[in-house]
Amino acid sequence: MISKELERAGIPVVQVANMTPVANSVGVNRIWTSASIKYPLGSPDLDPEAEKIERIRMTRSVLEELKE
Amino acid sequence: MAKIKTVYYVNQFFGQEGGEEAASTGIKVYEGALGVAKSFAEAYGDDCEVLATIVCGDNYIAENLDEVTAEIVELVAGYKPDLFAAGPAYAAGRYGVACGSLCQAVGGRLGIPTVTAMNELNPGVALYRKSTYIVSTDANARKVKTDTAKMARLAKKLVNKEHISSPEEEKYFAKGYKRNVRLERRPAKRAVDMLLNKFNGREFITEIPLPPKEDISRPAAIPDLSKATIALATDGGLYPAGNPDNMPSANADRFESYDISSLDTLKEGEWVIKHNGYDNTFSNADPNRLVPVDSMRVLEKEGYIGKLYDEFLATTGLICTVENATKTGKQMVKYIKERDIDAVILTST
Repeated sequence: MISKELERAGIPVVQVANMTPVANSVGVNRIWTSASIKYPLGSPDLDPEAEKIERIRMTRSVLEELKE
Repeated sequence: MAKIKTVYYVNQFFGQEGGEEAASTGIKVYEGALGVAKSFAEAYGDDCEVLATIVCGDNYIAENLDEVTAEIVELVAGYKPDLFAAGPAYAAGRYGVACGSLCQAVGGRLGIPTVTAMNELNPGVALYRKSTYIVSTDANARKVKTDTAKMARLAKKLVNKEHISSPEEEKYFAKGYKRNVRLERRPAKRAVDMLLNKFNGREFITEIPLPPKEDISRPAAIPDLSKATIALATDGGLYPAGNPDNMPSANADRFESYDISSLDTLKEGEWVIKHNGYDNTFSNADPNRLVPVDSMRVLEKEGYIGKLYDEFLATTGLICTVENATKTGKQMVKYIKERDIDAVILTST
């Protein structure tokens, strides 16, 4: 619902969420499916260095949504 | 048998003052039933007596909603009625808001049943459905008699304190209460049946309806991120340790912003999640998993994005009512518009 208000005001927003049906049903345009409800941009099974690299990859992928 | 004393409210059009040109007409009080109030009383039966029909122009009340509502409530109270009815307002926004506002205020002040009617497109529905019974109608006034009859039937049940069935059966907008009912089939069975029906393209009825989908056009794309300032936001409830702003652990109606301009990462222990809706262990252990400051900073240094905005925005979205989420969203819009921010990444849990 927050994203919807931002979009209504013309502000580009990517909603990073795990429960995408909810975001979808609300009508948000840019949705990126997160890794988990508990850690949207985390990979706790990796070691910290690898996790950070993976997070940079994921963040880049989130940001890519803004280009379209 | 004592008559059910009723006061009725209509706008200038249904009060036979005129159309849009008469929308600034002030409050007028007619003794007895006028126009649709008459149809309402006839449908209700002989035991309904409309003491007065109050007429007011849509602009007159919409432009000063609180004051005019209070003024009309005073008038209504003078009649010591048993019932208050207003509308139907169909899809007419100002009229619907007036009917809802009056029903809410009269019900609150006098503790009597109130009924109005409108179409789902009317903004009055979202604003007042929790405070009064709003019968669902078409968007236009083609079936006034049927609609006033539906209002009367529901009003009668309310006055007689009869059991009110589900919104679907009684044709009113759900007031947002959950009522326990005992069903023959267990939840697991119902859920699987629903899933099978959905899968096979058959009709199914959800037990948790989501808010209606609204088509909002896609905000403009940002082809060149290297010049863009991006702000991070979350509804996952991440706040500085000690939660200095006393943010709630559920259903927040506001957000706070926190300075990250000198930070390359969010350190464990300095930021703590206040959110009762999910297992916080992983994101407390590394808050970047929720608000990715470390990766955004890397991408900023790389030049992939222009700038990570100096503050991130935080709220708690758990079991958040649509009203509160909308309120928080509007506050964020204001914050963003007042600053040099091109886009937002909002992480949810």
